Amino acid sequence: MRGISKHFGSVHANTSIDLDIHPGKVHALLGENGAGKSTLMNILAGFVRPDAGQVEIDARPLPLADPRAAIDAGIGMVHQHFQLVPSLSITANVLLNDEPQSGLFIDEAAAHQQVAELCRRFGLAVDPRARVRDTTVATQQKVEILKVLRREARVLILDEPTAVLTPSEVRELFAFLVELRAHGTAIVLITHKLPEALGIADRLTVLRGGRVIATKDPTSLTTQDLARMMVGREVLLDVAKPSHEPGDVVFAAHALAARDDRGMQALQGVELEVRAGEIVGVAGVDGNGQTELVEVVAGLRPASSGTIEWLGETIEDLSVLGQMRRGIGYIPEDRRSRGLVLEMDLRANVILRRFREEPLSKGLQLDRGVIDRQTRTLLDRYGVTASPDTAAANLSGGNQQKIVVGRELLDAPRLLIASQPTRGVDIGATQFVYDQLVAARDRGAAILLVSFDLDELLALSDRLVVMYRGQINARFANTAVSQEELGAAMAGSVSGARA
Amino acid sequence: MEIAVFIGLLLAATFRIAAPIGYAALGATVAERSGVINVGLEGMMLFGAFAGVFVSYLTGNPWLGVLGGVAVAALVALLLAVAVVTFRANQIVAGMAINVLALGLTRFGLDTIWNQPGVSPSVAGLGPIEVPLLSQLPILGEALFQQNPLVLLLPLLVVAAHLSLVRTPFGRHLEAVGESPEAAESVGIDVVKTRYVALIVSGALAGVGGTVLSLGQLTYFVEAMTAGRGFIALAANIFGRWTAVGAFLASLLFGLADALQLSLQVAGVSIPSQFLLILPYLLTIVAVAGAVGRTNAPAALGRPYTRA
Amino acid sequence: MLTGQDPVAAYGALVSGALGSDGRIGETLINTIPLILTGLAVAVGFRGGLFNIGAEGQLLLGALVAAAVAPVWGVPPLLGIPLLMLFGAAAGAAFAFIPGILKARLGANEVITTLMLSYVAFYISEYLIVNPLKEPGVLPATALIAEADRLPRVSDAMAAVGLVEPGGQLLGRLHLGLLVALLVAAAIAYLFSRTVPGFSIRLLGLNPEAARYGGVPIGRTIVMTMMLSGAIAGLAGVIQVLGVNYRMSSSFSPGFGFTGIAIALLGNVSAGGVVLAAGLFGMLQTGGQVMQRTAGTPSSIVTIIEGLVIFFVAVQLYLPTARLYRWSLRLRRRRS
Repeated sequence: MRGISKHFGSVHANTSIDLDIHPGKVHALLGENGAGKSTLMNILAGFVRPDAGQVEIDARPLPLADPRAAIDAGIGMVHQHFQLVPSLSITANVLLNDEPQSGLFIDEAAAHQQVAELCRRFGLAVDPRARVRDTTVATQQKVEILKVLRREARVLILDEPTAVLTPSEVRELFAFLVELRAHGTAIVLITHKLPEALGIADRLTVLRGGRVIATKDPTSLTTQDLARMMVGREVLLDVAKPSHEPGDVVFAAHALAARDDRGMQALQGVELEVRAGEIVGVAGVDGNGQTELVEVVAGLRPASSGTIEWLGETIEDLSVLGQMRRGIGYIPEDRRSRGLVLEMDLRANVILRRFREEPLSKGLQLDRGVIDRQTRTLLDRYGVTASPDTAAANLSGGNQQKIVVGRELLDAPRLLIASQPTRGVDIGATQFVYDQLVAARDRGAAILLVSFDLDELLALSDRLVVMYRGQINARFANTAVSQEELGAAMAGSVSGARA
Repeated sequence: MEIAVFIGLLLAATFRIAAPIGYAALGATVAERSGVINVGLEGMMLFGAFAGVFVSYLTGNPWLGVLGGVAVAALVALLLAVAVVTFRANQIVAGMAINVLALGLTRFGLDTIWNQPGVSPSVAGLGPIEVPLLSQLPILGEALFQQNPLVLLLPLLVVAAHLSLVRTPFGRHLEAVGESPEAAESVGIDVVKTRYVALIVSGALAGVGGTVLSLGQLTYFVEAMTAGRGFIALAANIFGRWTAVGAFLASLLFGLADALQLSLQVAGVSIPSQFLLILPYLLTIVAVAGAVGRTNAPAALGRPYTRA
Repeated sequence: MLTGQDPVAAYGALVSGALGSDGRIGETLINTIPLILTGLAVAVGFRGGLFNIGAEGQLLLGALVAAAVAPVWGVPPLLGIPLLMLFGAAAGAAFAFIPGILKARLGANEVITTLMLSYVAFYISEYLIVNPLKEPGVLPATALIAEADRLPRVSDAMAAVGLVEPGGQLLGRLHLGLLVALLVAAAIAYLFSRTVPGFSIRLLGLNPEAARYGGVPIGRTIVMTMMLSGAIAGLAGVIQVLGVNYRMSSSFSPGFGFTGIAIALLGNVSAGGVVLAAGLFGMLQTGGQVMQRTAGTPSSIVTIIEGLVIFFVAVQLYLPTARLYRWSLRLRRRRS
């Protein structure tokens, strides 16, 4: 790929990127969220049209923005969000739109045969007759890989494949990739997980802000080198966090258990304490119960067993309103679908949680004057230059997040839950969020910070816990803990906790 | 009245009454499996019923009438497809628009074509036919095998629909489009085209259902003669868990409720007709409220698709 | 033109039919009143993300209550009329409670449940009209309400307070129901712009997940919204009985409830818009009848226009689509 550039509106996802991919090698594409890795690979696979640049396969130019051409050239991509039909069988999914027929009907037997053959050929073990929705995420990933490989892929692109896998599944995947590599397939691995990249890659390219920072041979590199290349922003190093003595326990959970949306056990026996004036960071691979933990504490999800204590007393009636009234603020991880009502104006979004309370309303009536004043104050204080009449949808992601964060801080909450608070947010707004969190802590708030960004957690937290399979399996009292230790805990090893 | 005679009457009435609902329910199944809620089935049935009578009036041939009904209803479905698939309009609102238009346009037609408010003149209809041999069976014979040809055709169509939906590539692709249009598109299935086809087919089926009413059961068109059957068909599809056979059986159930009311009246049992007439509607509510139906809906049902 | 008539003359007849004389204006306004109310009823539902397609049934029940109770209970009209309005609204609310609770607890699609219930209401009222409540006579209808118990005419009311000469015919048959309808419209506008429950309903309709996050009790709000919607529709029924028909018969409602859907959409779901849209449709209906008599154009044109309105509004209205989309997303997550 040469000189690839692509912008979406004012966001420059890729700027003049050059990339060489060699057969029989694993090439890791590293970078943070938003660095442009997925966009670049989507261009390669023909799903996105670049603004500039070209792609060549075997020195021949590849038609761009043409998924069919890419597939014919042997390029296959497995996306982060699988594109499978859950109600159909694995065979049906693999052979979708290419089903073997006998007469008018689909030849099911022949289809299963084909898939079984594919499994044998590529060394992947799945049950072709199983329905996709009944299978594990790891199996679904194998199905996606099968879909790609059966088209004689010479380049297999995997976008964050390990984000959803358990450690043993990751090992299985990498063993498979090693085999595949031996057969001459080129593999591109998009990831933001440094240890993995170092473990399997033959070459690495680091992207940051849409540009190539470096392309290197990984043998001499350490994770610190990589982290520095990936993050490289002074901003992060500037989290001025004076040490602060935590106060009393504000919130505690004992033997907390809860189920997820599918009825499976998401939390099993969580023990957690948060004190006033401290930031507790919750680390862990997505899907290990963090979402459910946050929802239970915020009152959005009932606990199936265990107790929650607030200021030393057990909470009997867990509800969103109840938690709010106790002074618990919640910055949700998905501001677009949960944190904001995009169609409504900024005033409505500022009062989203507290419109029932004085002074925003008296009895049944909303006090427009107070609402307007509070909104303007918030906009002013946090530097959002927009009129209160603007629809929330018209703000940038960073400004939207400022509204959400600012709103939750308005009433000086005693406990603030922040879930992925800087996801999809530009640098300036990220700095803002960090400053607000630290300031709140210094004012005595207890903060529960859940994030997939280890740097963020390490920079902000006073204490760290790691969630694995619905439990807290590691605690670290201070943040003088290495990424490797964290990574190991996140992958399941119960470390000797320095708690 | 003898119990056997009563049962015979009941069965015959059930099939006769269930038929229009059954056709429309098949239409609902096809459309919803592709991810589109066709609320306009009622209107399409009405258009079909009217067009059927009109064509039969012009040509004197009821079978041409049926064809006419199918064609018109399919055209209306095409219109809905444009609104809902291409323009991504709200499926429920657009469907209701079709229903209101149907009421207005058919009433208009009655006034201008025949200058007879409320009812059209009688036209050549589809009389009942007798299936040789089978119609000689006691009780069952008269009930099942002496019906108008469209009623007899329905079970065959159900089988065909079942096979198409479950065993053919088209049916498989339809299911993919309804469950996960993104996945379907990613392997090269044209979601837009599939949904268009599904809607047109569902319209055609609704059209047949309409002609069963206006050319089969009666031989004329009455204003608003579908009386909510298109909506009952939607419920029958939900009750039948989005399968062709299930939708058909559910339609039979609804037909039974209505037939019960008629048969009891004929048998001289004096229950006010209205009490029995509301049975199908209550049954529909139960069907829709029943937890059974909900969990099997195609995942992308009702969601407009945007090609990424 | 399709029917061989002169379009100019036809539309001229339409407009003059609707507004040509003081009496005609009165007739137009009479037709507008139930449309304002049913339009508001459906609009309230839409605000909460709910499709109350069965407003017709709720209207019928409200009318039934008024038609059954008014001739026999002997309460003086000053107290009786407001009480009947209350009862009718309560009947509509109770009837709408069913689809509301079914949706809140079981996720049952309210399009089908409200519609089915409207058929049920139709048959129940038909039964009651034909049997127990039937007045002796040829037509199946309930007892005629005594003149004293009816909604007073506007002209009589104004005469009573000395604004005009008594015995006049200002605005023909127009009755005080107009006042009620406009008051309800103002109340609804106020509800949604200035009150806490109105805000909750709007949140529910625009983004149910954010509403939950904001502490809105989703199930309860769904039921409340449906009941409010049903109450307004029921009120429409009462007013029709007390102000226009003075009794209930088989052909009581020419589909006010269903027209309300078009009106809610055309009025862009706002109270003011609904009033204006209702006015437009009222004109269409009255003018349509006159158009039919003088120019010979069938009144079904009005229904056709109605259908076209809904259609074109549907094609342009992406907002409800987005709403439904998010709602269906949430349902999907709950199911899976």
